[in-house]
Amino acid sequence: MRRATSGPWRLPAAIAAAALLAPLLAGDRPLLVAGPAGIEAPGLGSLLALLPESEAPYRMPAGAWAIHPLLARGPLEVDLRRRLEPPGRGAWLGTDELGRDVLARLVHGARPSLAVALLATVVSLALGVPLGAAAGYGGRLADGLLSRLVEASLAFPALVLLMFISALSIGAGGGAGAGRSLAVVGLAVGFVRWASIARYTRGEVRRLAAGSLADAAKAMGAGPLRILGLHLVPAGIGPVAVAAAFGAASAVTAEAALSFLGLGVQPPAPTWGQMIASASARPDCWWMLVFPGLAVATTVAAFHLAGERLRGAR
Amino acid sequence: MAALAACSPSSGGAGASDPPGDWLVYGDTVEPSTLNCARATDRAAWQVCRLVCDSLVDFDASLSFVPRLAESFSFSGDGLTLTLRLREGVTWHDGRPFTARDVLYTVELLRALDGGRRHQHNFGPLASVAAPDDRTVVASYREPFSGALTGWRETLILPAHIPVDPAASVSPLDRAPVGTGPFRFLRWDPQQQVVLEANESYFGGPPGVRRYVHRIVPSLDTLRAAAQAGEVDVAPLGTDWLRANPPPHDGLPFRVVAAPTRYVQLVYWNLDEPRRLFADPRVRRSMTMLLDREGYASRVHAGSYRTALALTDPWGGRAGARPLPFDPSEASRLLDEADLVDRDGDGVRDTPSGPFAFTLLYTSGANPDFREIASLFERQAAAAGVKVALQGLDWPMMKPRVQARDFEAAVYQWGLEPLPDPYPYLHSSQIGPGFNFGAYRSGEVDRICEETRRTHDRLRVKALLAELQGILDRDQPHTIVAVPGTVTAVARRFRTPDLTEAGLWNWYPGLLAWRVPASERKHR
Amino acid sequence: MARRILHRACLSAATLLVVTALVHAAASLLPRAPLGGDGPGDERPITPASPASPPPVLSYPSWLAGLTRLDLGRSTAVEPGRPVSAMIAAALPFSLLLGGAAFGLSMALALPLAAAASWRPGSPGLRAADALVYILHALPVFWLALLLQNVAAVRLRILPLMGAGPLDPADQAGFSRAAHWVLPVAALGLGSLAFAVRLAGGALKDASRARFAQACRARGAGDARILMTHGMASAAVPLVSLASMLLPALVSGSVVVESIFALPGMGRLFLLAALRRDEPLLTSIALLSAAATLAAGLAAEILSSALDPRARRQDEASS
Repeated sequence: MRRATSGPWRLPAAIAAAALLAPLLAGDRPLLVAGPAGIEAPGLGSLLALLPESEAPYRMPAGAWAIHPLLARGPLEVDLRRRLEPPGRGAWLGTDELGRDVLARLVHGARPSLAVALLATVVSLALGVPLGAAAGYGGRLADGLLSRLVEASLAFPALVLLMFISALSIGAGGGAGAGRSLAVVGLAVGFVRWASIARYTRGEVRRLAAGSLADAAKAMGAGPLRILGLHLVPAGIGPVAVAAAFGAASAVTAEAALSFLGLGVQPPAPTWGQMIASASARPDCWWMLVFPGLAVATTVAAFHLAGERLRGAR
Repeated sequence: MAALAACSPSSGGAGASDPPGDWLVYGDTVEPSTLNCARATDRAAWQVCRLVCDSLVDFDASLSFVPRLAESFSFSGDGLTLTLRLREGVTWHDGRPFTARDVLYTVELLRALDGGRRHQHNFGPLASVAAPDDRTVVASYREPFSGALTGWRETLILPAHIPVDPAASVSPLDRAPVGTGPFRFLRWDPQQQVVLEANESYFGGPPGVRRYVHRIVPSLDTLRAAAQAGEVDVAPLGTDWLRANPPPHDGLPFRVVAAPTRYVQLVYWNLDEPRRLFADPRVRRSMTMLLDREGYASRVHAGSYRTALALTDPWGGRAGARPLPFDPSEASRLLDEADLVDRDGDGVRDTPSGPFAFTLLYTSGANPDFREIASLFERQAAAAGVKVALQGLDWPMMKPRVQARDFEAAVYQWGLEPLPDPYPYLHSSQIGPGFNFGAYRSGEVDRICEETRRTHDRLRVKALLAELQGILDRDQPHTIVAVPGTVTAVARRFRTPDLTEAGLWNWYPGLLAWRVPASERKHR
Repeated sequence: MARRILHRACLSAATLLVVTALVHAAASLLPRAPLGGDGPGDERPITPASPASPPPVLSYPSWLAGLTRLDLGRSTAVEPGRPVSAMIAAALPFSLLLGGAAFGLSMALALPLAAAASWRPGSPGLRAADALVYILHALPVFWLALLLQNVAAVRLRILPLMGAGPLDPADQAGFSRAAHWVLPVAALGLGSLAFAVRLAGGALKDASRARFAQACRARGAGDARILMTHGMASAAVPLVSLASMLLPALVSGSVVVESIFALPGMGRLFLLAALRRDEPLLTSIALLSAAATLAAGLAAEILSSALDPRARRQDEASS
C-alpha cells in the first residue's frame, strides 16, 4: 500500500513545495546580502508569512553583493508603466492591470490557495471524523440525530452554502482584510465538506465495528472509546483520506468560484481565484485568464488523481 | 468643463423629419429595485422613473433650467418665493387630468416617507407650498435657497388619485408606475427587462422611438459582448473599455461616446478616529502626496479619467486650485516633521502609541476602481514607511461602516449635483446626516457652504468656490483622486442631439429627440 | 414496502426540520444592511432605518408557521416589498428548464461513455475521452461558460449570447427561443459531465456484476448484448437516484451560468440576495434548494424500490 500511495502525491507535493518556497522563487527583495555591515536576509522574512505584504523597496548598501530570488519581481510590486504586457522577455507570463508580474503572483498565489485547501481539509476532518465516528459507534439516538444533521448539511448545494456563509461573514465586525477573508473562505469550505467526511467515517466505522477487529478488542476488555480511538478510526482512515483529497480539490475550485462572484479572499492577496476574477473584466488579455485557470485546473486534477489512486489502492 | 472626449460626430438631425419608430434597447447591469418615483434610490430605478414621470422643471442640454410640466417659473425679488405655472391639458397615462393638487400631494408624500429625508434634500428651507388655483403652485422658502430649482428637478410628480401609503412598504405604483412622462409603462419581466411604450399624446410631442426596453444583463462582460453583437443599442461599457479598445472604432456596430461625469473619487481620512492619526494637516497632506493620482488617471485608466485637482473641479471651479503633487520624498519629509519616524527600525514609522498603521476600506464588487486606488496607495505608502492594511467590503457592508464613521480611512465616491453645493460634503452639520464622513470641522468652510446655498448669483458662487478650494488645498480633509469618465455605446442607427455634459438623455427634451431614419429601423 | 417508504419519509421530514432550524439560525446572523444605491456616489441621503428583530429562538415558531402557509416573507433589498413566493414562482420555471436540459445533456453524454468504458476498458479512444472529461471537471464552470460565450456568440455569432428568448414578443418561434438556451445548457451540462460519468459508471458496473448478467453470460449472450438489453435496463433504476445526486451540482452551477447568460432564474436571484443581504429571499432559496435535494433523494428511493424487483422481493420476504 505504501508504494501505491507515494506516487499520486508527487504532483500535489511539488505544488505544495512551490507554494512553501514561493519567496525564494519570486520576490523584489534580495534573499541574502553580504555587505560591509555583515550579512542580512531581507527577503527571507516573508518565508513564514502566509500572504505577501507590501514593504519599502530594499536599498542595497554600497559595495554589497546579493543573492536574488529566481524572479526578481514581487507579487505586489506595482509598475504602472508596464501594465497589461503580454508574455514576453520582460514578464514571462505577462503583467496585470497594475503592472504586477503574473508569474510572481501565480507562484505566491499557490500559498493562499493551498492554505484554503489545507484549512478546509483540517476543519472538515476535525468536524467530520469525530462526529461520523460517534454516529457510527454510538447508540441509535446519537446516530439518528447526527445522521439528520449530516443529511441536512448535505442537502444544501455546495455553492449555496458557501455563499450563505460568506454573506454572513464578510463585513461582520472588524479585522484586517486579506488574512481574515482567507480564514473565512477556508472555514466555509471546511464546513461545506464536513458532512461528507462524517458520512464516510460513519460508514467505515460501522463496517469495521461489525467485523472481527472490534470483537477481538472487546474480548480483550477494551472500552468503547478505546476501541473507537485505537482501532476503528485508524483502520477507517483510508477512505477518509480519499475524501480529504477530493475535498482539497473542491476547496481550490470553491475558492476560485467565490472570488469570481466577489465573495472570496480580498485583494491585494494574489490568490488564483482573485486573478481569474480580475481577468474576466479584461477578455482581451488572455494571459491573465489562462495561466491562473491552468494553475487551478492542474492543482484540482493533481488532488483528484491522488484521490482516485488512493481509492484504487485500497 | 471639457465637452466630450468624443469620437465620431453624432450626425444629428438627419432623421429628424422621419416619423417616430423603432425600439431602443438599453443594457444595464442592475435591475431597478422599484419604479415608484417616491422611493427610487438607485440609478437604474431613477433612469426608468424619469422616462415615465415628469418633474416641473428640468435642465436643457447646456444645464440651464427650462420648464417641463410647468410652462413657466419665476422667483420673487427677495428670492423667497417660487411661482410655478403648470401646463394646461396634461393628462396622466390613465387619462385623468394633471393639476396642482398632484404637486401638493407629492410634496406632502415626500415629507411623510422615510422620515422626510428626501423632502429635506429636495426642498431645504421650504416653508410652505400652496396652490391658489389648479394651474399655479407657489413655494415659499424661509431663506433664499440656491438648490430650489435643482430640488424641483429631482421631484418627480406622482398622481394624487393613486395614493401611496407612507406607512406601508409596498404600493401599487412600485411595479406598475403611472406618470405624465414621454413613455408609459407596459410591462416588467423580473430579472429580464422593463418595457415602456411611447406616450403618443405627450405634451412635448411623441418621442422619436416607439418603445424603450431597459434590459438587465448582470455581467459587464456579457453586456459588452451584447453591444458588440447588436443585442443592446445603448450600454455603458465601463471606464476601462477605451484602454483595451483604442480608437478608431469604425468597425464597431456602435458609436463610442466618452464623457466626464460628476463623480469624484476620493479617500476619506477619519478625523474623529480614536488614535487621531490624521488630526495633523501635515499628515493628511503627506497622504495626498503619497498617492500617484496622475498615474492612476492617465495610466490605469488610459485617458478616460481626469485627475481631479479639487473637489470643485466638476463644478467648473478649477481656477485658483493649487493641487499637491505626487511627491513621496516631500511626503516623507512632512511625516518626519510631524514626528512620525521609525523608532524601532522595523521599517514602519511610529506614533507615540505604536506603529503608524491603519486600515483602508474600499468597496469591492463590480467596479474595480476602488480596489485599484486602494492597492496603489497601499504600495506607495509602504515605501514611505506607512503600513496600510486593505479591507474590501461589498456595498451593503461598506455603506453602514462609513455612515457610522467606523473606519480609519476609506476610498469613496461622490455623485455631485450639477450646480455647486458643497454643503452636504463639507458642512460640520453634515457629519451625521450628510456625506461629511471624515468628520471635518471648519468654521470658515461652514460659512462658505452656507453662503453658497443662500445666493442665486453665479459669479459670487464662483468666488466662494475659489476661496473654499484654497482652504481645502491647505487642509486636505480628504484626498481627491479623480473624476471618472463614462464610456457609452450607442448603436449607429440612432440620430441623437449633440451629446453634452448634461449626459445622454436625462434632460429636456433628451430622449424625446432620439430618432432612427425609416430606412435603418430594426423593429417595425 | 409501504412501511419502509413511510419510515424514509419520516426521516426526510426530520432532516427538513433540522434544515429549517439551521437556515433560520444562520439568517439571524446576517448583518442587516440598509439599502440604497448600488455603489458609492449613486446613493441619495435617504436611508430608511431597518426595524429591530426578535432573537431567533423566539421568532422561529412563527417563521415556521409562515412557511407551512407558504408565506416566505417579502424581499428587503432585491425587489423591496415584493413577496418572495412571487419572485420564486417567476424564476423557478427558467431554472427547471435549464437544469433539466443540462441533466439530459450530461446523461446523454455520460451513459454512452460509461457504457463504453465498462464494455472495453482502457482503449486509447476512451482514455482520450476520459482525459477530456477530467479536464472539463477541473475547469471552473464560469471559465467554461465565458469561453463558450466568447467563441460561439461573440466571435462566430452563430448563437445568441444571452437572455431567455428573443426580445420581440412577436418572434416567439420555437427555434429562435431554443437557440437562446444552447450555450447555457452546454456550459452547465459539460460542467457536471465528469460527475455524471463517474456516477453512471458506478451504476453500470454494479449492473454488469449482477447475477442476472452472469446468468446471461452463461447462456452464451455476448457482453455487448448484455450491456444493451439488460445492463441499461437495470441501470435505469439507479438513473433516478443519479438525477437526485446531480441536483445539488446543477443548482451550484446555475448560479454562475445564469449570471453569465443573463437568465432570470433562481441561481441569479440567489446571487443577488447574497450580494445585497436580502434575508427573506436568501433563506427561502437556500431552504428550497435543500428541500428539493431531500425530496429528490426520497423520490429516488421510493421509485427504485418500486421498480427494482430485488428490492420488492426483499420487502415481501421481510413483511
